[in-house]
Amino acid sequence: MSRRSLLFMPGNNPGMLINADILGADTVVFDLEDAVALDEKDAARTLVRNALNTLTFKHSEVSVRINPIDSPYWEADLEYIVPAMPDSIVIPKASTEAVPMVEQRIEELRAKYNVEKEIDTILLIESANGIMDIQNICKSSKLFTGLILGAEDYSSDMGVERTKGNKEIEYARYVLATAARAFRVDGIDTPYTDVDDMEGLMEDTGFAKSIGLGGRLLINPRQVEYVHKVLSPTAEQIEEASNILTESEIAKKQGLGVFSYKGKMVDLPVIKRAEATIENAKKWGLIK
Amino acid sequence: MINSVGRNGLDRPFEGAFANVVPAVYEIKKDRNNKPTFSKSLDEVLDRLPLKDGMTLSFHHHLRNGDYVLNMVMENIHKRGFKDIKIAATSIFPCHEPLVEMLEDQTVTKIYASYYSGPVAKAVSVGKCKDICVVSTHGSRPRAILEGELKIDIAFIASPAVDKEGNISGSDGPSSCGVLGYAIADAECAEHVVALTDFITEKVEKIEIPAFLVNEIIELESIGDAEGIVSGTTRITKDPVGLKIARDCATLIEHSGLLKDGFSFQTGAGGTSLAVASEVKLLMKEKGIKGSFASGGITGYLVEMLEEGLFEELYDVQCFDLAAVRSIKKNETHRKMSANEYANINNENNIASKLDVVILGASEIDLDYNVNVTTGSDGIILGGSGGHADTAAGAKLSIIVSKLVNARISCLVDKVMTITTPGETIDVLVTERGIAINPKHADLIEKLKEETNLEILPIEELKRIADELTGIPKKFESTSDIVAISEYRDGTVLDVIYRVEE
Repeated sequence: MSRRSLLFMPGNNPGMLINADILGADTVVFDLEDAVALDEKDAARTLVRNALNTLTFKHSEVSVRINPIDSPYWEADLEYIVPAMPDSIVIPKASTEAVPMVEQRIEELRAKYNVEKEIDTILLIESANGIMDIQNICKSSKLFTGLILGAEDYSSDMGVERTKGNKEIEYARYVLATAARAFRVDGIDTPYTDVDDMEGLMEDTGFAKSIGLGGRLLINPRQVEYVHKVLSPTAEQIEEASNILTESEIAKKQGLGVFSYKGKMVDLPVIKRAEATIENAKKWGLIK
Repeated sequence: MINSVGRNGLDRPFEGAFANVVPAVYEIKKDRNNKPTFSKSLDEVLDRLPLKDGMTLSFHHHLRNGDYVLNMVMENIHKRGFKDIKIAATSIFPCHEPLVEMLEDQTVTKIYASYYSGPVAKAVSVGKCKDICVVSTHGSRPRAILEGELKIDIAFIASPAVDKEGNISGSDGPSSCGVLGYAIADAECAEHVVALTDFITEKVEKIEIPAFLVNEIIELESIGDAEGIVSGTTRITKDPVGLKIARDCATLIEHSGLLKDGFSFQTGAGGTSLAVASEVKLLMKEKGIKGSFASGGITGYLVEMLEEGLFEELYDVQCFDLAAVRSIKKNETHRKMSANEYANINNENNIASKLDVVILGASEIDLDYNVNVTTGSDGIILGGSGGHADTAAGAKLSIIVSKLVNARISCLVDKVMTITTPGETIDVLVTERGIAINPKHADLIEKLKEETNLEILPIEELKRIADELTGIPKKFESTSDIVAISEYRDGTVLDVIYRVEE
């Protein structure tokens, strides 16, 4: 998995669900939680299930954010959604209690409905405790392929104001980025909430990238292309990765374990990174 | 008689987009020493004019939905009890609602216009007009007038600015609309030319209609409502689906081989069209491309591109917004053009035929690439060609941008209800779910598949995708009574429009 963009959409908006696949996001997340009012929970669940069953998703992975385990909705959410086979489930308020509970239920429902497709989870870390306990939360999960920082709830838990500069969430971002790298899953940053400030979005995403976060949660489809601009490898990086792989093939034929490229020693981690760059570039349509 | 696109072509069947081109040079047979008479009363002027039943009166639509002139004149004619009047307006807008009553009592019995919207369009659709109306193109109208096919008895020209000599310009005064491109042929050929103005000044710059063409000038309190004349600004869409279409369209243009120095371009004022212009602008800047011209109805967006040096000239037949109105006064290279210069098929130098790329819309498009922008899914007239058919035929690459599925209705159908623009002149359809390219461009299809990640699909496949989302709608049943014809740019009948039940 490598996700640059996870685009959130309210699960009770048919017009948005229908167009979800064409908006360019690596992942679309149909939300059954905060974006849906209490008296719309049933409708959203049915609508998302029907969307998964009837629409074709060719361009984006599809994920569903269920309601948290301290609500009365999460089990019904899973009961409806798992048989409709999304690619993944976003678990809100991830904790060492919530993650195993939800994942166990997913596995039970897969067995019950003969769902062969594997469904993975993405953990939404959105509390002070979530950040403190992140390593244990990760260890408690069997299915996760990504960590998301939910900075709105996190900062509210911290009792701090959100500011434009995002200083107040810097620590949480570093922790989440490090945990994601340590567990080899996607590190996904919190949404940038000013949907008209594309320069700010790009600058802030540039910072996220610089500390190791490779993806971002988005709340407006117009943000997709700007986030991709920042989080995709550049043409130069792709070219360099491709050259390294070519040289590596030559070196392999000559029986060499390491070789030098532009005066720098190339070893296995560099080759692996180059392979990942090319694989992603292909997946994201940056090269043919 | 069935025409070459399989529709009823009446006695002048369409035979192909370029089957009837007869290059022409027009000579204006008016006395160059003529001087107009100035007065302050419409009544007084109408008293002097040889009014009669059955006459043809012409109007232009540059004041758009803020126009007072058509209603003012027609209410007076109505009051005088004339019958069987033919109206040759360039377009009909919602503000022209008073005409409905005049259709009902047969004061007016025929309308000839390039675009119809609002209550009059509906009245024509439900059969309130006695004779068959004509939905022409912006290029066909001046051709018909200049070649004597459409004879105008009196042209009433809303004139935002008139000078002491009687010269007319659209770019001054409180009802300034920028350009009067659609009214020029009327002024050149009508038996009598009456200019109605609310602004007389010492001297007008950039004269559009010279004084010798004008017989009467009437100074009135007001000829239009500034609010309805031009929109304050035209804006790029924020709709992510429209933006996706625009991005893919720009990528297609980039790889079409046409985006190079000398590039020429036309696009409408719709949000998606402007978004295409915005993407094309970025590409031109990035690649250092200097275009030759942009044309058509001009928006502030194209003005910005002119002012940034991305185009050498703008050719403007109609200003869409205030920025365009302001620009045409101050920018030398923002040029006014007449509808004849813009799009007349028989005028060899028409600007439309020099276009590289035009971006157009569609309310329906069919598997033969025929486009309908004339009638809605309920059969009622909701527009008309305007310059659609003219520029589609003229441009090297005509691109339709449209949502494949909009409000649960697919734009792709087996057969369009009304053919506005024949499929042989449409090259590409760009939708949010894929791009269909007219099979006659096999090389372009190959090139795009090789060089881009654009989703190029056969049009049948795109239709299948749409049908999957929307289901197949029940066929609309109209009556068999003809209320209007869809006239092609050469004057032939491309299609007929049937009456719908009220």
